[in-house]
Amino acid sequence: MIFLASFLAFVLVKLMPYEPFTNPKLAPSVRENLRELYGLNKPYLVQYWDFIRDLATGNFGLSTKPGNRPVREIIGETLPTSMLLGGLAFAFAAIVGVTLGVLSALKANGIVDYVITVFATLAFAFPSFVVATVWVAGKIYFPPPIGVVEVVLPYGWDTWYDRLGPILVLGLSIMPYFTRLVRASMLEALQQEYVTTARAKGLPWRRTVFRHAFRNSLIPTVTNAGPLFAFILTGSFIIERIMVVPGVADQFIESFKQPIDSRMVLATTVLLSALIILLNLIVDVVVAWLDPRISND
Amino acid sequence: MNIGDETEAGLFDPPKSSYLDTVNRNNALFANLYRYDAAGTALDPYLATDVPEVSDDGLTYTVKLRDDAKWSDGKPIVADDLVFGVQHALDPATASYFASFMLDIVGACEYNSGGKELDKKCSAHKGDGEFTDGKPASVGVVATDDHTVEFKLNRVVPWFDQLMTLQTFVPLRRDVVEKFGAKWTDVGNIVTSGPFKLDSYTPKSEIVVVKDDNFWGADDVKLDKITFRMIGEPKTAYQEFKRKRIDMAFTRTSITPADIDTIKTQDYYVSRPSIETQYMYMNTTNPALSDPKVRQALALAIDRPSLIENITKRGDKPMNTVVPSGLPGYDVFSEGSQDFIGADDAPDTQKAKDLLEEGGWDDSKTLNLVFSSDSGSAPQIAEQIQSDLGKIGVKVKLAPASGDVISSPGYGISPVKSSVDLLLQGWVQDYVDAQDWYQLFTCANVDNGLNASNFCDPEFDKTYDEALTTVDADKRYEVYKRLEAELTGPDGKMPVAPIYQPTNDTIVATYVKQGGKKYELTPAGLMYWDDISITADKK
Repeated sequence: MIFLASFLAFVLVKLMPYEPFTNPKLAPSVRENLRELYGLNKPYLVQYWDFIRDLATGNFGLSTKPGNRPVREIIGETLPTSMLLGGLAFAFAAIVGVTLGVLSALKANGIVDYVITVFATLAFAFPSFVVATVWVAGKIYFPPPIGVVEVVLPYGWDTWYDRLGPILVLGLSIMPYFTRLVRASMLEALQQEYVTTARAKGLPWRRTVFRHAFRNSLIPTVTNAGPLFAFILTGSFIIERIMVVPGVADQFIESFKQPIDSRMVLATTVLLSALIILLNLIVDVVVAWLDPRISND
Repeated sequence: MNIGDETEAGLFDPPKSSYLDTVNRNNALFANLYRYDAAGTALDPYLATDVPEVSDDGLTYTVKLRDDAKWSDGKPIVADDLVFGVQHALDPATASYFASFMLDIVGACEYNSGGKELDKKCSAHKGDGEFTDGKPASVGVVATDDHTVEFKLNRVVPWFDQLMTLQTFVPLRRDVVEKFGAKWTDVGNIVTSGPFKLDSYTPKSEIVVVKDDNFWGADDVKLDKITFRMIGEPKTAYQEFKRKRIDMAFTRTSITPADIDTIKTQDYYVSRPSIETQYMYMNTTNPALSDPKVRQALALAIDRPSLIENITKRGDKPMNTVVPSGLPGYDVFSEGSQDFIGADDAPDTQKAKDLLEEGGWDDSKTLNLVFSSDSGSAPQIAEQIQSDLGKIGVKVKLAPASGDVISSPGYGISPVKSSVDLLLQGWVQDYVDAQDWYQLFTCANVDNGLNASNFCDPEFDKTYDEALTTVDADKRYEVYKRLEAELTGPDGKMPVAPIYQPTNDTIVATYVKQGGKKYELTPAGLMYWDDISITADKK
């Protein structure tokens, strides 16, 4: 899968009709020397082989932007930020989403259920770029009282106060999935015979819910978490761009700015693909652990 | 002091810096040989003690270094450090764009090319000499004693002294670069020579430099610390400035067209004509534009004063010459144009129409005007030109392209395509000599697209070659005057319509002083930090 992604990325980058060294001030011989330094004069197959070999050794080559910094170094500066953003957003979405889903199911068709459903539907309906923009605008028009936090820019990633926005907005974009999934599967679980049995044998309601209904209702939720990771990843492209988070997704977009930084594009594409594949793998393992029946199939 | 900065990467390795922001930041960290004076035209010796001594044949430049200069680790700065700095800039692995300006040094092109394919790459820079073996030691930069360096050239480069202001002519520490490799610029490894030293670097966030007591002029350095904050958006920079969280912004980041009307009346607005030009190139190889009279008509028809008043709004200077004002000798060579275009007034449409007729203009033709759709006011300028040319009966079709496509194949490294009739594009100075502009119209630059008019005139090339070998500045200006006449004079070929000379501007708090006075920009947008201070007015 990763090879396929790398191959596709390579072909697409090579199909783009741009030159990395278009600065008109470059002397012809210097431009030629730069092309050689980056191996751009070699046949495409050799270039692809170089790229794969570099990947295998954990070296992503050099950025073609002025300064020829190692791509690995640039990713090293941006990836932790994205991981933090994605991880916290996911945690927020999972905790809040699942809690709301459980509450909603337990109080099905009551006022609490109604409020939660409306909230989840709204969160689902609004694209994250709208929510992000509203958040930034909100921070401009309603700045926090002076002295509480230092008034900084309405976006950014410098302080935890800044970070709250991107984390919440990104988390909010997938939270409804958790709420809806958990609500539905929880309702279904509550009507199962094993729940009635558990109640009948005298197990307290609280224990019945958490021990039996909740644990079983988690399985569809976790199964869907893999695609949700992918969703977080793509969401982060929008969030990092709008809310000015110096993450790897922002870097990815940056590297497409002309003249295109081909090694950076390739490295980030492969890295992000690998990340999605890896997370899906982890999800499969966790599902098997939650429900032993699956691994027996 | 806090600066609103733009570039993302911490490119502290001087020859790797290529954007103005990085160069300006590095001016705090590294001492170059020369800087420009306040007018931006004459050399101010900085690490050098005096202007370079030039041999009679113009091929050897001798530079003497200060003997009291020290590195940030306390070691003296010696001639060998400068030799290494130049070698490092030429090292192919450094990938310095600015090596382009050093290739006429003996052995420079050979070393930069790794000693390979020299016939193809380096013939243009060989002069009368032979190719060297491509080793760094064969580069013609030699320390003759501890504080004297000799540069040997393959051919006469009359503006070579100007090139020594560039970031490729700074001393660097061989021991540090060799020990740490690409990591030599990391905090803790880096050893610098300027008035400040690197204190911390947070990628994508900020760079902090602090005063270096080892600097020879440390007693006169007023600031203890400068923080360069990475702020990409002009709007954000302006907001931060209003909150006094930055004290000034770098020139390219500070002002959006939407804000200029408000900002330009404030006392924190500083501006200065840039030594730079905005052109409309005309593709001389397209049949519709092959007659010089037609091109003259188009150049005449543009209403420059209206464009500056209504679109750019920065008080830019309308242009009637190919070269911008502010260059040494401008008064002499600008006369070559005889003010044929009459840039300061509304266009003489009748004269333009007459010229069109003389040139046999075919009314049914439509010209494609290519411009960068994402650079500031280019789209509005294109619209005005469309309407101006419409007034003399020339139909123009607007062809917006992304700014980067404009410097891609077709417009930057290969000849301009025939689908381009007119192209809006600028040129910024690399050194203050008119040659930097006249070279754009030589036959040699057609193939690489620098000559975006595809203009090739042997007569012009002959005069141009004469200028290249005229070392005496005053005599060279006379040759430039003939070049100017051949382009923009009444009998000129007019391959390009000069439009205006842009302005550098930015926002600088009034409490920021330079040598105790109001802060002023240099024509090239270069910033130096030694004599900047912040007065008590900052609350």
